Amino acid sequence: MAFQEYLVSLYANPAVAFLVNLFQHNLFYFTLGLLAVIALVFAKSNTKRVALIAAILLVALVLPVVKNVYAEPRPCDGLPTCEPDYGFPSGHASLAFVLVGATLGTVAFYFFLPVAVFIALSRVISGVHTLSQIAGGMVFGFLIFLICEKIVEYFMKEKETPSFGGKRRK
Amino acid sequence: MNEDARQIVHFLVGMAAIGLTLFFGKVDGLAFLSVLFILGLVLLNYKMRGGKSRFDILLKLFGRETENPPGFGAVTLFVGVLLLLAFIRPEQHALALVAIFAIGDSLATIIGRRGTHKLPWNSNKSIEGSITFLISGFLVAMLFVSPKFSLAYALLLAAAESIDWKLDDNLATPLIAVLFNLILLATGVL
Repeated sequence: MAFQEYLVSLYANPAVAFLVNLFQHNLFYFTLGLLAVIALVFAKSNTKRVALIAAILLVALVLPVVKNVYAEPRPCDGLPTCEPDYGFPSGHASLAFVLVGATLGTVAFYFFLPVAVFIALSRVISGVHTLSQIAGGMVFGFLIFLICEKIVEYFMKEKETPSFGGKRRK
Repeated sequence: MNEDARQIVHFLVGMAAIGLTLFFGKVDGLAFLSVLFILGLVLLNYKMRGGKSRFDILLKLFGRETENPPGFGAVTLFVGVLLLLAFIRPEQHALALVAIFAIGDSLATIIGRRGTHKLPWNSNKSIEGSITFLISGFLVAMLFVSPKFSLAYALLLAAAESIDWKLDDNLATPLIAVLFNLILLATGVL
């Protein structure tokens, strides 16, 4: 918990607050769109590209349901600036780690991983999520991408890039 | 890397997650696993891009040599344990499921590989392994939850583990556990 309190205290720094605000509210969806386009360009195969789009849509569709099932309040609950929905798992962290999954195995991964970690931590710094809520979001987004990739690969039968968890050909 | 050694590492990761959660709280357990998950992703990406380094031994410790991409098991193991710890409610049930996943699965693989009676629905798994999973899973889960839930979780995970899901075992088994837990939560059993 001490680490979480330390992260929240960083928001008092104007430079940190500026960077954090790039990934909050409506500006996040613009940033996400931009990042998704870059991820589409760098993705290794068409399977990954289709899986990326499917995973973003699936996260957007499933996340509100999951949040309502867990009904875990945000740490800022009750404040007028706090977002009205529940906090677990973090949607920002989920979407950021979908992009990480899509760029795994490419040079763009070295850009996307730090950005995704920063997006996730920015939600703790701005006081709208707890560390456990962003950990849940990270694993949720990454897992959704892997599942989408498996499904897309099954339908597209693309063999140019072996899927995650497949057997190596001798 | 020997499969038995890999299972011991699997067991140790689960035990570390349980130990940290019990002694320092769930947030620290999740933070530890998140750091391992991110490090695993960095190593996996490096390996997928054809890199060779002294860290290859780490990937071999967690993943099977036949995996593609090599070291993928390193990431899925952390994803699986993270998934259980983050999504299962209440916390004692999460710890019980991590214990089953870490101890039951490791013992089942070590003993099951030496088993001679194959499961009718999956020739890669043995009856000996599934029984080991069930008994060891039931016993370790009793440390955290009531016998009723221990038996239900051990049965569910043993059954899930025995099926070939066409998805990595480290992902499919925790995913089934989370879905089952969601049903229990939604129906008011928990």
